[in-house]
Amino acid sequence: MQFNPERLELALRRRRLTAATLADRIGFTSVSLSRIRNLRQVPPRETVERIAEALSYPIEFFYGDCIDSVDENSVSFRSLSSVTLREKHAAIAAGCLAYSVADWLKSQYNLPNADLIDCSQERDPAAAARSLRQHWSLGEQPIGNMIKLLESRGIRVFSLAENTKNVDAFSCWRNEEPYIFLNTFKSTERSRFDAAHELGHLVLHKHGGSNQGQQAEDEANSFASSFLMPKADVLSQMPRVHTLNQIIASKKRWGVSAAALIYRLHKIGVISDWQNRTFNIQLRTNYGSTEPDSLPREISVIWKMVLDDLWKHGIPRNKIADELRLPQEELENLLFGLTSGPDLHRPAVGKPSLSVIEEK
Amino acid sequence: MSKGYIPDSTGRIESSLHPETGVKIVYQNVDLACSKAKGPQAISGKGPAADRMIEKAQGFLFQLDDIPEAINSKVLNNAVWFLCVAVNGESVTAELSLPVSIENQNFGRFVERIFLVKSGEWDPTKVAPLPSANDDYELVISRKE
Repeated sequence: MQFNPERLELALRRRRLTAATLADRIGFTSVSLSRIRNLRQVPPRETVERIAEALSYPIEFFYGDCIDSVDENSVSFRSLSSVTLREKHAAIAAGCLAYSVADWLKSQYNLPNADLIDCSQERDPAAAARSLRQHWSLGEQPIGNMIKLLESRGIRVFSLAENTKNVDAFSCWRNEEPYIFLNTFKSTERSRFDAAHELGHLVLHKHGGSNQGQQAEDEANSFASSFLMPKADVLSQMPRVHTLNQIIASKKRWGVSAAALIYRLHKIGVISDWQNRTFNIQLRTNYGSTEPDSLPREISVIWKMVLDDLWKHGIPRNKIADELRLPQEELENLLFGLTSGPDLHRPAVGKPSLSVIEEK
Repeated sequence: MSKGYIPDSTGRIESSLHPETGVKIVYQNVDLACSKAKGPQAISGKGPAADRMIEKAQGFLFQLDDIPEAINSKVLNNAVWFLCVAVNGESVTAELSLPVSIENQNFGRFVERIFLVKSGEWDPTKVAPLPSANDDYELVISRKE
Protein backbone atom coordinates (compact mmCIF):
# COMPACT_ATOMS: atom_id res chain seq x y z
CA MET A 1 0.00 0.00 0.00
CA GLN A 2 1.15 3.50 -0.83
CA PHE A 3 1.92 6.32 1.59
CA ASN A 4 -1.30 8.19 2.38
CA PRO A 5 -0.79 11.96 2.91
CA GLU A 6 -4.32 12.32 4.32
CA ARG A 7 -3.23 10.24 7.26
CA LEU A 8 -0.22 12.49 7.72
CA GLU A 9 -2.57 15.49 7.97
CA LEU A 10 -4.65 13.60 10.49
CA ALA A 11 -1.66 12.75 12.66
CA LEU A 12 -0.41 16.33 12.46
CA ARG A 13 -3.75 17.61 13.68
CA ARG A 14 -3.91 15.06 16.48
CA ARG A 15 -0.47 16.12 17.68
CA ARG A 16 -1.39 19.78 17.27
CA LEU A 17 1.72 20.38 15.22
CA THR A 18 2.27 22.62 12.25
CA ALA A 19 3.94 21.24 9.15
CA ALA A 20 6.82 23.61 9.74
CA THR A 21 7.42 22.17 13.21
CA LEU A 22 7.34 18.63 11.86
CA ALA A 23 9.73 19.56 9.04
CA ASP A 24 12.07 21.01 11.62
CA ARG A 25 11.89 17.85 13.77
CA ILE A 26 12.68 15.49 10.93
CA GLY A 27 15.37 17.74 9.44
CA PHE A 28 13.44 18.59 6.27
CA THR A 29 12.72 21.92 4.68
CA SER A 30 9.12 23.01 4.64
CA VAL A 31 9.16 22.79 0.87
CA SER A 32 10.30 19.15 0.92
CA LEU A 33 7.63 18.21 3.44
CA SER A 34 5.06 20.13 1.43
CA ARG A 35 5.89 17.99 -1.61
CA ILE A 36 5.21 14.88 0.46
CA ARG A 37 1.95 16.29 1.83
CA ASN A 38 0.76 17.11 -1.66
CA LEU A 39 1.87 13.71 -2.89
CA ARG A 40 4.06 15.31 -5.52
CA GLN A 41 6.74 13.09 -4.09
CA VAL A 42 6.24 9.61 -2.65
CA PRO A 43 8.42 9.48 0.45
CA PRO A 44 10.80 6.53 0.90
CA ARG A 45 10.11 4.29 3.87
CA GLU A 46 13.01 5.79 5.85
CA THR A 47 11.41 9.23 5.60
CA VAL A 48 8.04 7.88 6.72
CA GLU A 49 9.82 6.21 9.64
CA ARG A 50 11.21 9.60 10.70
CA ILE A 51 7.76 11.18 10.36
CA ALA A 52 6.21 8.35 12.35
CA GLU A 53 8.81 8.69 15.08
CA ALA A 54 8.40 12.48 15.26
CA LEU A 55 4.63 12.13 15.55
CA SER A 56 4.73 9.03 17.80
CA TYR A 57 2.48 7.13 15.40
CA PRO A 58 3.13 3.60 14.10
CA ILE A 59 4.66 3.72 10.64
CA GLU A 60 1.92 1.40 9.33
CA PHE A 61 -0.63 4.10 10.12
CA PHE A 62 0.63 6.17 7.19
CA TYR A 63 0.08 3.32 4.75
CA GLY A 64 -3.62 2.81 5.45
CA ASP A 65 -6.73 3.64 3.45
CA CYS A 66 -8.33 7.06 3.64
CA ILE A 67 -10.35 7.59 6.81
CA ASP A 68 -13.78 9.24 6.60
CA SER A 69 -13.58 12.83 7.67
CA VAL A 70 -15.90 14.48 10.16
CA ASP A 71 -17.85 17.30 8.55
CA GLU A 72 -16.64 20.38 10.40
CA ASN A 73 -19.91 22.16 9.69
CA SER A 74 -21.81 19.52 11.59
CA VAL A 75 -19.71 19.98 14.69
CA SER A 76 -20.43 22.56 17.34
CA PHE A 77 -18.07 23.57 20.07
CA ARG A 78 -19.83 24.97 23.09
CA SER A 79 -17.02 27.32 24.12
CA LEU A 80 -16.54 28.55 20.60
CA SER A 81 -15.07 31.87 21.66
CA SER A 82 -12.25 30.29 23.61
CA VAL A 83 -11.53 27.17 21.56
CA THR A 84 -8.44 27.57 19.40
CA LEU A 85 -8.34 26.40 15.81
CA ARG A 86 -5.69 23.88 16.80
CA GLU A 87 -7.88 22.45 19.58
CA LYS A 88 -10.81 22.30 17.21
CA HIS A 89 -8.80 20.48 14.54
CA ALA A 90 -7.38 18.03 17.09
CA ALA A 91 -10.87 17.18 18.39
CA ILE A 92 -12.26 16.70 14.90
CA ALA A 93 -9.27 14.54 13.96
CA ALA A 94 -10.05 12.39 17.01
CA GLY A 95 -13.53 12.01 15.57
CA CYS A 96 -12.01 10.72 12.31
CA LEU A 97 -9.99 8.14 14.22
CA ALA A 98 -13.15 7.16 16.08
CA TYR A 99 -14.83 6.43 12.75
CA SER A 100 -12.18 3.85 11.95
CA VAL A 101 -12.55 2.36 15.45
CA ALA A 102 -16.33 2.27 15.03
CA ASP A 103 -15.93 0.55 11.67
CA TRP A 104 -13.71 -2.09 13.28
CA LEU A 105 -16.31 -2.62 16.01
CA LYS A 106 -19.09 -2.95 13.48
CA SER A 107 -17.09 -5.46 11.47
CA GLN A 108 -16.63 -7.65 14.53
CA TYR A 109 -19.87 -7.31 16.50
CA ASN A 110 -23.61 -6.98 16.00
CA LEU A 111 -24.62 -3.72 17.67
CA PRO A 112 -27.92 -2.01 18.55
CA ASN A 113 -29.40 -0.07 15.66
CA ALA A 114 -29.99 3.66 15.96
CA ASP A 115 -33.37 4.30 17.56
CA LEU A 116 -33.86 8.08 17.52
CA ILE A 117 -36.78 10.26 16.52
CA ASP A 118 -36.57 13.28 14.28
CA CYS A 119 -37.91 16.32 16.13
CA SER A 120 -36.57 18.93 13.75
CA GLN A 121 -40.10 20.30 13.29
CA GLU A 122 -40.67 20.60 17.04
CA ARG A 123 -40.28 24.20 18.22
CA ASP A 124 -40.28 23.37 21.93
CA PRO A 125 -37.12 21.48 23.05
CA ALA A 126 -38.85 20.40 26.29
CA ALA A 127 -41.62 18.76 24.24
CA ALA A 128 -38.96 17.02 22.12
CA ALA A 129 -37.32 15.70 25.30
CA ARG A 130 -40.68 14.37 26.49
CA SER A 131 -41.31 12.74 23.09
CA LEU A 132 -37.95 10.98 23.14
CA ARG A 133 -38.49 9.80 26.71
CA GLN A 134 -41.84 8.43 25.63
CA HIS A 135 -40.31 6.77 22.56
CA TRP A 136 -37.69 5.14 24.76
CA SER A 137 -40.28 4.23 27.45
CA LEU A 138 -38.39 6.08 30.14
CA GLY A 139 -41.37 7.68 31.85
CA GLU A 140 -40.40 10.42 34.28
CA GLN A 141 -37.65 8.45 35.98
CA PRO A 142 -34.09 9.83 36.28
CA ILE A 143 -31.44 8.54 33.88
CA GLY A 144 -29.12 6.16 35.76
CA ASN A 145 -26.26 5.62 33.32
CA MET A 146 -26.41 8.11 30.48
CA ILE A 147 -23.73 6.50 28.31
CA LYS A 148 -25.30 3.07 28.64
CA LEU A 149 -28.69 4.50 27.69
CA LEU A 150 -27.25 6.15 24.58
CA GLU A 151 -25.34 3.04 23.55
CA SER A 152 -28.39 0.85 24.06
CA ARG A 153 -30.27 3.09 21.60
CA GLY A 154 -27.62 2.70 18.91
CA ILE A 155 -25.61 5.88 19.48
CA ARG A 156 -21.85 5.42 19.19
CA VAL A 157 -20.23 7.16 22.15
CA PHE A 158 -16.53 7.96 22.30
CA SER A 159 -14.45 9.93 24.73
CA LEU A 160 -12.19 12.86 23.96
CA ALA A 161 -9.31 13.10 26.40
CA GLU A 162 -8.44 16.52 25.06
CA ASN A 163 -7.13 17.87 28.34
CA THR A 164 -8.81 21.18 27.74
CA LYS A 165 -11.98 22.73 29.04
CA ASN A 166 -12.58 24.49 25.76
CA VAL A 167 -13.85 21.45 23.90
CA ASP A 168 -17.00 20.19 25.58
CA ALA A 169 -18.44 17.61 23.29
CA PHE A 170 -19.74 17.21 19.79
CA SER A 171 -22.06 15.02 17.83
CA CYS A 172 -22.70 14.16 14.21
CA TRP A 173 -24.46 11.76 11.88
CA ARG A 174 -22.53 9.42 9.61
CA ASN A 175 -24.35 7.04 7.28
CA GLU A 176 -27.49 7.26 9.45
CA GLU A 177 -25.47 6.37 12.52
CA PRO A 178 -25.38 8.94 15.33
CA TYR A 179 -22.09 9.68 17.10
CA ILE A 180 -21.41 11.55 20.32
CA PHE A 181 -17.95 12.56 21.53
CA LEU A 182 -17.53 13.52 25.19
CA ASN A 183 -14.67 15.33 26.87
CA THR A 184 -13.59 13.26 29.87
CA PHE A 185 -11.70 16.26 31.23
CA LYS A 186 -15.03 17.51 32.65
CA SER A 187 -16.85 16.41 35.78
CA THR A 188 -19.21 13.45 35.47
CA GLU A 189 -22.22 15.70 35.91
CA ARG A 190 -21.02 18.07 33.21
CA SER A 191 -20.23 15.18 30.91
CA ARG A 192 -23.75 13.75 31.38
CA PHE A 193 -25.25 17.12 30.59
CA ASP A 194 -22.98 17.40 27.53
CA ALA A 195 -24.20 13.97 26.40
CA ALA A 196 -27.84 15.05 26.79
CA HIS A 197 -27.04 18.34 25.03
CA GLU A 198 -25.57 16.46 22.06
CA LEU A 199 -28.54 14.08 22.10
CA GLY A 200 -30.66 17.21 21.72
CA HIS A 201 -28.67 18.22 18.63
CA LEU A 202 -29.11 14.74 17.13
CA VAL A 203 -32.85 14.84 17.69
CA LEU A 204 -33.55 18.51 17.00
CA HIS A 205 -31.01 19.48 14.37
CA LYS A 206 -30.43 16.36 12.31
CA HIS A 207 -30.84 18.08 8.99
CA GLY A 208 -28.77 21.17 9.59
CA GLY A 209 -26.03 19.78 11.78
CA SER A 210 -25.47 21.07 15.27
CA ASN A 211 -23.51 24.09 14.16
CA GLN A 212 -26.50 26.41 13.82
CA GLY A 213 -25.55 29.20 16.15
CA GLN A 214 -26.64 30.28 19.58
CA GLN A 215 -30.30 29.42 19.09
CA ALA A 216 -29.45 25.78 18.40
CA GLU A 217 -27.18 25.76 21.47
CA ASP A 218 -29.95 27.19 23.65
CA GLU A 219 -32.41 24.63 22.31
CA ALA A 220 -29.99 21.77 23.00
CA ASN A 221 -29.44 23.07 26.53
CA SER A 222 -33.16 23.30 27.13
CA PHE A 223 -33.58 19.76 25.75
CA ALA A 224 -30.82 18.44 28.02
CA SER A 225 -32.29 20.11 31.09
CA SER A 226 -35.74 18.67 30.42
CA PHE A 227 -34.42 15.26 29.43
CA LEU A 228 -32.26 14.79 32.54
CA MET A 229 -34.62 16.51 34.98
CA PRO A 230 -38.26 15.84 34.00
CA LYS A 231 -40.48 18.57 35.41
CA ALA A 232 -42.96 16.24 37.10
CA ASP A 233 -40.22 14.28 38.89
CA VAL A 234 -38.39 17.41 40.06
CA LEU A 235 -41.63 18.98 41.32
CA SER A 236 -42.65 15.86 43.19
CA GLN A 237 -39.24 15.31 44.77
CA MET A 238 -38.36 18.94 45.49
CA PRO A 239 -41.57 20.92 46.01
CA ARG A 240 -39.67 23.30 48.28
CA VAL A 241 -36.01 24.21 48.53
CA HIS A 242 -34.54 25.96 51.52
CA THR A 243 -30.77 25.54 51.35
CA LEU A 244 -27.93 24.97 48.92
CA ASN A 245 -27.05 21.81 50.83
CA GLN A 246 -30.45 20.38 49.92
CA ILE A 247 -29.68 21.00 46.25
CA ILE A 248 -26.21 19.45 46.50
CA ALA A 249 -27.61 16.35 48.23
CA SER A 250 -30.51 16.08 45.79
CA LYS A 251 -28.61 16.53 42.52
CA LYS A 252 -27.41 12.92 42.65
CA ARG A 253 -30.92 11.73 41.84
CA TRP A 254 -30.68 13.25 38.38
CA GLY A 255 -26.87 13.06 38.02
CA VAL A 256 -26.57 16.74 37.21
CA SER A 257 -24.43 19.58 38.52
CA ALA A 258 -25.69 21.76 41.35
CA ALA A 259 -25.74 24.71 38.93
CA ALA A 260 -27.88 22.78 36.43
CA LEU A 261 -30.36 21.79 39.14
CA ILE A 262 -30.57 25.37 40.44
CA TYR A 263 -31.27 26.55 36.89
CA ARG A 264 -33.98 23.91 36.44
CA LEU A 265 -35.61 24.64 39.81
CA HIS A 266 -35.75 28.31 38.89
CA LYS A 267 -37.04 27.60 35.40
CA ILE A 268 -39.98 25.52 36.66
CA GLY A 269 -40.77 27.97 39.44
CA VAL A 270 -39.71 26.01 42.53
CA ILE A 271 -37.27 28.72 43.58
CA SER A 272 -37.63 32.47 43.23
CA ASP A 273 -35.35 34.92 41.42
CA TRP A 274 -33.89 35.86 44.74
CA GLN A 275 -33.19 32.24 45.74
CA ASN A 276 -31.71 31.55 42.33
CA ARG A 277 -29.28 34.43 42.74
CA THR A 278 -28.43 33.53 46.34
CA PHE A 279 -27.80 29.83 45.63
CA ASN A 280 -25.59 30.64 42.64
CA ILE A 281 -23.52 33.08 44.69
CA GLN A 282 -23.19 30.53 47.51
CA LEU A 283 -22.20 27.83 45.04
CA ARG A 284 -19.48 29.97 43.49
CA THR A 285 -18.22 31.23 46.83
CA ASN A 286 -18.09 27.84 48.53
CA TYR A 287 -16.98 25.59 45.69
CA GLY A 288 -15.55 27.78 42.92
CA SER A 289 -15.50 25.88 39.65
CA THR A 290 -15.31 22.41 41.23
CA GLU A 291 -18.38 20.24 41.37
CA PRO A 292 -19.28 19.36 44.96
CA ASP A 293 -19.75 15.68 45.76
CA SER A 294 -19.23 14.51 42.20
CA LEU A 295 -20.43 11.13 40.94
CA PRO A 296 -18.12 8.37 39.70
CA ARG A 297 -17.23 8.68 36.03
CA GLU A 298 -19.37 6.92 33.47
CA ILE A 299 -17.66 4.80 30.84
CA SER A 300 -18.69 3.02 27.69
CA VAL A 301 -20.55 -0.18 28.48
CA ILE A 302 -20.28 -1.55 24.93
CA TRP A 303 -16.49 -1.25 24.92
CA LYS A 304 -16.31 -2.87 28.35
CA MET A 305 -18.30 -5.80 26.93
CA VAL A 306 -16.09 -5.97 23.83
CA LEU A 307 -12.86 -5.93 25.85
CA ASP A 308 -14.23 -8.59 28.21
CA ASP A 309 -15.16 -10.69 25.19
CA LEU A 310 -11.70 -10.30 23.70
CA TRP A 311 -10.22 -11.37 27.00
CA LYS A 312 -12.42 -14.46 27.05
CA HIS A 313 -11.02 -15.38 23.68
CA GLY A 314 -7.47 -14.76 24.80
CA ILE A 315 -7.02 -11.73 22.60
CA PRO A 316 -4.92 -8.91 24.10
CA ARG A 317 -6.34 -5.42 24.32
CA ASN A 318 -3.73 -3.92 22.05
CA LYS A 319 -5.04 -6.05 19.18
CA ILE A 320 -7.53 -3.34 18.22
CA ALA A 321 -4.87 -0.63 18.08
CA ASP A 322 -2.58 -2.94 16.14
CA GLU A 323 -5.25 -3.83 13.61
CA LEU A 324 -6.17 -0.19 13.16
CA ARG A 325 -2.48 0.86 13.08
CA LEU A 326 -3.18 3.41 15.80
CA PRO A 327 -1.06 4.46 18.75
CA GLN A 328 -2.34 2.67 21.83
CA GLU A 329 -2.85 5.96 23.66
CA GLU A 330 -5.10 7.31 20.91
CA LEU A 331 -7.34 4.30 21.35
CA GLU A 332 -7.34 4.83 25.11
CA ASN A 333 -8.37 8.44 24.57
CA LEU A 334 -11.38 7.33 22.55
CA LEU A 335 -12.42 4.39 24.73
CA PHE A 336 -12.63 6.09 28.13
CA GLY A 337 -9.23 4.71 29.13
CA LEU A 338 -10.65 1.18 29.17
CA THR A 339 -7.76 -0.24 27.20
CA SER A 340 -5.10 1.13 29.54
CA GLY A 341 -3.43 -0.88 32.25
CA PRO A 342 -2.05 -4.37 32.07
CA ASP A 343 -4.10 -7.27 30.82
CA LEU A 344 -4.51 -8.58 34.33
CA HIS A 345 -7.05 -11.16 33.33
CA ARG A 346 -5.39 -12.24 30.14
CA PRO A 347 -5.19 -16.00 30.03
CA ALA A 348 -1.69 -17.40 30.08
CA VAL A 349 -0.33 -18.38 26.73
CA GLY A 350 1.89 -21.45 26.40
CA LYS A 351 2.99 -23.72 29.21
CA PRO A 352 2.47 -22.58 32.78
CA SER A 353 5.69 -21.57 34.51
CA LEU A 354 5.28 -24.10 37.30
CA SER A 355 7.93 -26.71 37.81
CA VAL A 356 8.50 -29.53 40.21
CA ILE A 357 11.37 -29.07 42.61
CA GLU A 358 12.95 -32.19 43.94
CA GLU A 359 13.35 -32.20 47.69
CA LYS A 360 16.90 -32.79 48.82
CA MET B 1 -41.57 41.49 44.05
CA SER B 2 -43.20 40.09 40.95
CA LYS B 3 -46.53 39.31 39.30
CA GLY B 4 -47.50 42.98 39.50
CA TYR B 5 -47.15 43.43 43.26
CA ILE B 6 -45.48 46.52 44.71
CA PRO B 7 -44.38 47.39 48.26
CA ASP B 8 -46.93 49.43 50.20
CA SER B 9 -46.95 50.96 53.68
CA THR B 10 -50.31 52.67 53.89
CA GLY B 11 -51.30 53.23 57.52
CA ARG B 12 -47.75 52.24 58.52
CA ILE B 13 -48.51 48.62 57.76
CA GLU B 14 -45.94 47.05 55.42
CA SER B 15 -47.55 44.96 52.72
CA SER B 16 -47.41 43.80 49.11
CA LEU B 17 -50.07 45.51 47.05
CA HIS B 18 -51.42 44.66 43.63
CA PRO B 19 -52.46 48.10 42.34
CA GLU B 20 -54.72 46.73 39.62
CA THR B 21 -56.79 44.39 41.78
CA GLY B 22 -56.33 46.13 45.11
CA VAL B 23 -55.34 42.86 46.75
CA LYS B 24 -52.97 43.38 49.65
CA ILE B 25 -50.86 40.77 51.46
CA VAL B 26 -49.48 41.39 54.93
CA TYR B 27 -46.91 39.15 56.62
CA GLN B 28 -47.96 37.96 60.06
CA ASN B 29 -46.23 35.83 62.68
CA VAL B 30 -48.86 33.58 64.27
CA ASP B 31 -49.08 30.95 66.96
CA LEU B 32 -50.39 28.17 64.72
CA ALA B 33 -51.22 27.80 61.04
CA CYS B 34 -53.05 25.21 58.95
CA SER B 35 -55.06 23.89 61.86
CA LYS B 36 -58.64 22.99 61.01
CA ALA B 37 -59.61 23.24 64.64
CA LYS B 38 -58.38 26.75 65.25
CA GLY B 39 -57.69 29.88 63.23
CA PRO B 40 -54.30 31.57 63.42
CA GLN B 41 -53.73 34.16 66.13
CA ALA B 42 -51.17 36.93 65.77
CA ILE B 43 -48.38 36.46 68.29
CA SER B 44 -48.24 40.13 69.16
CA GLY B 45 -51.97 40.75 68.81
CA LYS B 46 -53.64 43.14 66.38
CA GLY B 47 -54.21 46.85 66.97
CA PRO B 48 -56.68 49.45 65.73
CA ALA B 49 -54.70 50.11 62.51
CA ALA B 50 -55.17 46.50 61.37
CA ASP B 51 -58.79 46.66 62.48
CA ARG B 52 -59.42 49.74 60.32
CA MET B 53 -57.60 48.21 57.36
CA ILE B 54 -59.64 44.99 57.49
CA GLU B 55 -62.85 46.90 58.08
CA LYS B 56 -62.15 49.09 55.06
CA ALA B 57 -61.20 46.22 52.79
CA GLN B 58 -63.50 43.41 53.86
CA GLY B 59 -66.05 45.18 55.99
CA PHE B 60 -68.22 46.58 53.20
CA LEU B 61 -69.09 43.07 52.15
CA PHE B 62 -71.48 43.06 55.08
CA GLN B 63 -72.65 46.67 54.83
CA LEU B 64 -74.30 46.78 51.45
CA ASP B 65 -76.00 50.11 52.19
CA ASP B 66 -72.64 51.78 52.08
CA ILE B 67 -71.96 50.68 48.52
CA PRO B 68 -72.95 53.26 45.91
CA GLU B 69 -74.87 52.26 42.81
CA ALA B 70 -71.79 52.49 40.62
CA ILE B 71 -68.52 51.34 42.06
CA ASN B 72 -65.07 50.79 40.70
CA SER B 73 -64.79 47.04 40.18
CA LYS B 74 -61.19 47.16 41.37
CA VAL B 75 -62.40 48.23 44.78
CA LEU B 76 -64.83 45.36 44.91
CA ASN B 77 -61.99 42.91 44.47
CA ASN B 78 -59.77 44.41 47.09
CA ALA B 79 -59.06 42.43 50.19
CA VAL B 80 -56.39 42.23 52.84
CA TRP B 81 -54.89 38.79 53.08
CA PHE B 82 -52.48 37.78 55.81
CA LEU B 83 -49.58 35.45 55.11
CA CYS B 84 -49.68 33.75 58.50
CA VAL B 85 -46.43 31.97 59.38
CA ALA B 86 -45.99 29.88 62.52
CA VAL B 87 -42.47 28.88 63.55
CA ASN B 88 -42.25 26.38 66.40
CA GLY B 89 -38.72 25.09 66.67
CA GLU B 90 -37.92 23.36 63.37
CA SER B 91 -41.59 23.11 62.47
CA VAL B 92 -42.83 25.79 60.09
CA THR B 93 -46.42 26.09 58.88
CA ALA B 94 -47.98 28.81 56.76
CA GLU B 95 -51.37 29.80 55.42
CA LEU B 96 -52.87 32.67 53.47
CA SER B 97 -55.86 33.93 55.42
CA LEU B 98 -58.63 36.46 54.81
CA PRO B 99 -59.94 37.65 58.20
CA VAL B 100 -63.38 39.21 58.57
CA SER B 101 -62.61 41.31 61.58
CA ILE B 102 -60.45 41.94 64.61
CA GLU B 103 -62.01 40.73 67.86
CA ASN B 104 -60.43 41.01 71.29
CA GLN B 105 -57.31 42.52 69.74
CA ASN B 106 -56.69 39.55 67.47
CA PHE B 107 -58.10 37.84 64.39
CA GLY B 108 -61.75 36.92 64.68
CA ARG B 109 -63.42 34.82 62.02
CA PHE B 110 -62.05 34.19 58.55
CA VAL B 111 -63.74 34.29 55.16
CA GLU B 112 -61.14 32.05 53.61
CA ARG B 113 -57.99 30.20 54.62
CA ILE B 114 -55.56 28.69 52.10
CA PHE B 115 -53.17 26.18 53.63
CA LEU B 116 -49.73 26.69 52.06
CA VAL B 117 -47.28 24.72 54.19
CA LYS B 118 -48.95 22.11 56.33
CA SER B 119 -47.45 20.48 59.37
CA GLY B 120 -44.49 18.27 58.41
CA GLU B 121 -44.09 19.73 54.93
CA TRP B 122 -41.33 22.18 55.83
CA ASP B 123 -38.13 20.21 56.10
CA PRO B 124 -34.85 21.92 55.23
CA THR B 125 -33.04 18.60 55.47
CA LYS B 126 -35.29 16.77 53.01
CA VAL B 127 -33.44 15.70 49.87
CA ALA B 128 -34.51 13.94 46.71
CA PRO B 129 -33.85 10.20 47.03
CA LEU B 130 -31.40 8.41 44.79
CA PRO B 131 -33.05 6.77 41.82
CA SER B 132 -33.99 3.15 42.07
CA ALA B 133 -31.88 0.76 40.01
CA ASN B 134 -33.30 1.96 36.73
CA ASP B 135 -30.18 2.02 34.58
CA ASP B 136 -30.78 -1.50 33.42
CA TYR B 137 -31.20 -0.45 29.82
CA GLU B 138 -31.09 -3.52 27.66
CA LEU B 139 -27.82 -3.59 25.78
CA VAL B 140 -26.99 -6.67 23.78
CA ILE B 141 -24.08 -7.16 21.44
CA SER B 142 -22.88 -10.35 19.81
CA ARG B 143 -19.78 -11.38 17.99
CA LYS B 144 -20.14 -11.75 14.23
CA GLU B 145 -19.31 -15.20 12.96
